[in-house]
Amino acid sequence: MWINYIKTALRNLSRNKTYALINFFGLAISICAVILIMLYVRFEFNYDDFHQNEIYRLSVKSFQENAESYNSPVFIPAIGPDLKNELPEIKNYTRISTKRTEYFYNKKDPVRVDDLIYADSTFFEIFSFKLISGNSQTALTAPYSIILTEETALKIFGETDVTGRSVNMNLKDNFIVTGIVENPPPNSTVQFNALISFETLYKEPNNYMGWFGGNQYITYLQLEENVTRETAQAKFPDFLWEKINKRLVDYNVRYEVYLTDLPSVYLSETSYTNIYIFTGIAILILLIASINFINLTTAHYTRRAKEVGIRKVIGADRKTLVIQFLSETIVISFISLLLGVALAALLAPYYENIIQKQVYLNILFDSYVLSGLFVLFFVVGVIAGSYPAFYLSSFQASKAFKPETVKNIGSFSLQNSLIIAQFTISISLIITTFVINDQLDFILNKELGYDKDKIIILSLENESSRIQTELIKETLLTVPGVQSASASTNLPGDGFSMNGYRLQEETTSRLINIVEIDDDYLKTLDIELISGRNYNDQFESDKSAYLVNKTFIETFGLTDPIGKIVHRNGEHKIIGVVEDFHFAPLHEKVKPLILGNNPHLGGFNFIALKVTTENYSDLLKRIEAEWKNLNPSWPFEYNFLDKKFEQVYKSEEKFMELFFYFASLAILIASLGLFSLTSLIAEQRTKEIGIRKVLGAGVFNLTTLLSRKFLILVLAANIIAWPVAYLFVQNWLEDFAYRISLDLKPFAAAAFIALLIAIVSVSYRTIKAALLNPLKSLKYE
Amino acid sequence: MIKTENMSKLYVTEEVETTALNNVNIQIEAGEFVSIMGPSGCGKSTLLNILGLLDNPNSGKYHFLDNEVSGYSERQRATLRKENIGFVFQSFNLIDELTVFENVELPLLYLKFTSSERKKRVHEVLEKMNIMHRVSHFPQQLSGGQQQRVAVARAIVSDPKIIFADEPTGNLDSSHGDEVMNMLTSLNKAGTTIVMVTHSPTYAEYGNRIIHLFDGHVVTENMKEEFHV
Repeated sequence: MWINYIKTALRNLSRNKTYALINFFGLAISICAVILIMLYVRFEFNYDDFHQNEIYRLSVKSFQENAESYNSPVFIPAIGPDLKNELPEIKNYTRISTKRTEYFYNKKDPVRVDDLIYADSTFFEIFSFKLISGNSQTALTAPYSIILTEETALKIFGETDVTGRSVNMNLKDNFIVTGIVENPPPNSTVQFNALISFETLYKEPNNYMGWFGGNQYITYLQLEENVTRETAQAKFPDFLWEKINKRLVDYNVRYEVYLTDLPSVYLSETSYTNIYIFTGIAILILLIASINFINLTTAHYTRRAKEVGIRKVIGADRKTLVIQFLSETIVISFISLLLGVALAALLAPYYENIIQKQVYLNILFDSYVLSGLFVLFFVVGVIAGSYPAFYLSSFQASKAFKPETVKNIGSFSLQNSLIIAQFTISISLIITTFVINDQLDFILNKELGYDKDKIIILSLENESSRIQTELIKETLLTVPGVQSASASTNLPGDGFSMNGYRLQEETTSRLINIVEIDDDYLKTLDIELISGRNYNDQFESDKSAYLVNKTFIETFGLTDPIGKIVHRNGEHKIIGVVEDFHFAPLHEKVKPLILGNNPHLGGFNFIALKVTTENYSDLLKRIEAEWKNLNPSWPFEYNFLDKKFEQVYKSEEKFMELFFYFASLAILIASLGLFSLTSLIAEQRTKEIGIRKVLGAGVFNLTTLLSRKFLILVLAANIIAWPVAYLFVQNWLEDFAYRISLDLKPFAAAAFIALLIAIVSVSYRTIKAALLNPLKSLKYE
Repeated sequence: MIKTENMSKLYVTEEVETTALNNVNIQIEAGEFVSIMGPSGCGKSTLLNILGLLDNPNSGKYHFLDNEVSGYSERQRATLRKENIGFVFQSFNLIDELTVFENVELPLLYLKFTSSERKKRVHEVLEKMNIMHRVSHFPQQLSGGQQQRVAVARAIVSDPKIIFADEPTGNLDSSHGDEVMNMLTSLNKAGTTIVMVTHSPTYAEYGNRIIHLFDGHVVTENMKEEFHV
């Protein structure tokens, strides 16, 4: 019997190639999209799943005047060892520093190593990173020990067999390579290119390693067996009170720490929004393809009413027929699944490139995913097959032969509702795509309060370069094409660091953003001074003075800010106010900012050059030549301010790109469905078209007749889609402090596009049908 | 074998109510060859559909093989149908996607015959209908007469007690028509009961009884010759 079903199904498909192709193609690409999105979601959910131990990360919240002002895993270095020593619940800890960039000298040229971290000797006890050579127990015990990843070893030494060799960092200290470690997997929160023993930090005189400073370290903990996170956390308040909080009461500052289990660290930091959005799109795409499947299968099966009749007359009961039709759609669904998996495998590398993540295609073949896919295709097959199967099999055998019964199915309201649903989804996706695009445009072109164009940023990676900024500036200003030069600790784009400051009359200090600049900063970046004056390097007293931004004086209600005093390690007089500029990403509003003139210890980190030309290659060669003249051992690292700016919004751009692809896919599948549905309907109405033509109807007349219904459906879909899309995009935009105001444009454009798609899909077949010689149309029946 | 008592059938659409059958009382014995005649729209096909268990009457009783079936569900009727009844239609009603063999095999599939039994029976019946040489052709590749022979083969392959034929010669030229009628006659001679709807007085004569329908009523029943069960 099954052979009979399959034969009938396959022969039916081969007789209706357009129908079969659109069904297979639509389902296959939707399954492919679902797989790709599933891989992405699975990747996001499987962060840090390779560690053997149950690991917790310590995070800190700081409260100022009872308002939370800071929430971060980065805290002081003393907490880890003290927790272990004093609380029996804590089994082990390991600390890592924030990431550094350093330069290593094996031969002559410096080798830049990013993402270098300092780590405790317990690093390999807690984490499951694989050491290729070296002893995991001792490799990070002695000061000035360094473990390199294979990649870093190759970069510095040109080989990986380097354990025991020595390497110089920053032309200062020598380190012994005590091990080689595999590169951390992409789904690891802890990423590094090299590990330096934490003990090294204690050897540096400028590092503060106690309880009252050195806010640069992340602590990971392992709890004793049978100790829950809650029991451990319950002990933290008393512990912190003794260690730090009781001494901060006068400042009205209080810290709280809590534990996050490692697998949720990544997801709690990355918002779930993208995962939700893409899972949603996956479901919508699948829904659209399933609707096509249902509509086409139903429309197509109306042609098979005769077969149903015959089978019934011969002895098939309803159950047998339902099984037959369901098995057919499940077979189609299964073939589409195979095609979809193949397509996904083919597209995976391109996809990885778009999402900038490794998707591990091989997880497709683990039993969990396979059974998920199996259920998926089964469900799609059953859903798509159910309606036609139950509907057709319900015919009375005697009626199934009658053409009028068959005709009725083409115009039933379920089909209309499904088309409306499909177009509602498509239109919502089009609107969303437009809005995301507009918002991104808006951000990338927003007036920033500074000029990011034609600015070259040079990094001062070396201590000796950091204290000679004046010399560097003078030298580089002699290069033709360099208009101005400024040294600073940071440049606007991805945000500045914060410190505690106290305003003159106030008793408690607040965390305020700070950047240290020289007197050329405002000129170079074209930041407007709105009152007071800029720094003057001639005045020694300016070293302790501050410039502040407009939000600063507004936030703290300073009506006459010039001359007001800010406290931090002494008194600082405000000498000028600058117009607000967006130093942090546009997700947040401009916050109060202090622009100081006295960089801490090592000096400035960057030189910004305003240049007159965009022919960067020649200019950079000249700048590099001057740079190397000053000191050949200084690494020459440059960037462009506008590039840095774009980098900040890279994830949004990737999001947009991905959204665009998946939305287009959804729309494509929906229009394919409409196209083939109209084909089937035009075919069903061939006789009617013939009669109308004989009676004098023209092509335009007939096309309108056949298309009208679909255009009405698309208009109806617009009415539903608009509010749905409005709510969604409004919600999405809330994440941005600076956002476009929604107007009618994206909505109208989406309506127009949807109608256009509908008209194009519908008219090809209807015009073709209308042009057919009426004699042929009539003979058809 | 078949007995109806005051059987009626009404078709109700939005605007009109049509009485297709009105108090029909007929009786057909096993081994008979009954022709049903009457003008278009008199209820012939409706009667055949009900007798063939494809449809239920609205009122009255219908005894089929000693079962009162007028209130049977679709499933019950399907079971009785596939075990006892064969159908032949004017438009042949072969499934286009199946070959001659597969079309004829279909009733046996629903009766869950084994593969070897199916093969044997289909070959036998195709030999009998003289269409064996077309066994792997599709219906569209056959002439009308050949298609009807396949349809008859399909109707008799499961050895039904009764065959209902709805204008089996309607789409055939006279020589093919004669051929089909001869087949039905010989089947009847071999013991199969046959009920046939036809427009053709000539072909109606092949039966041993003719029932005339008009406007849903049985108007006359002519017994052609003495019939003994």
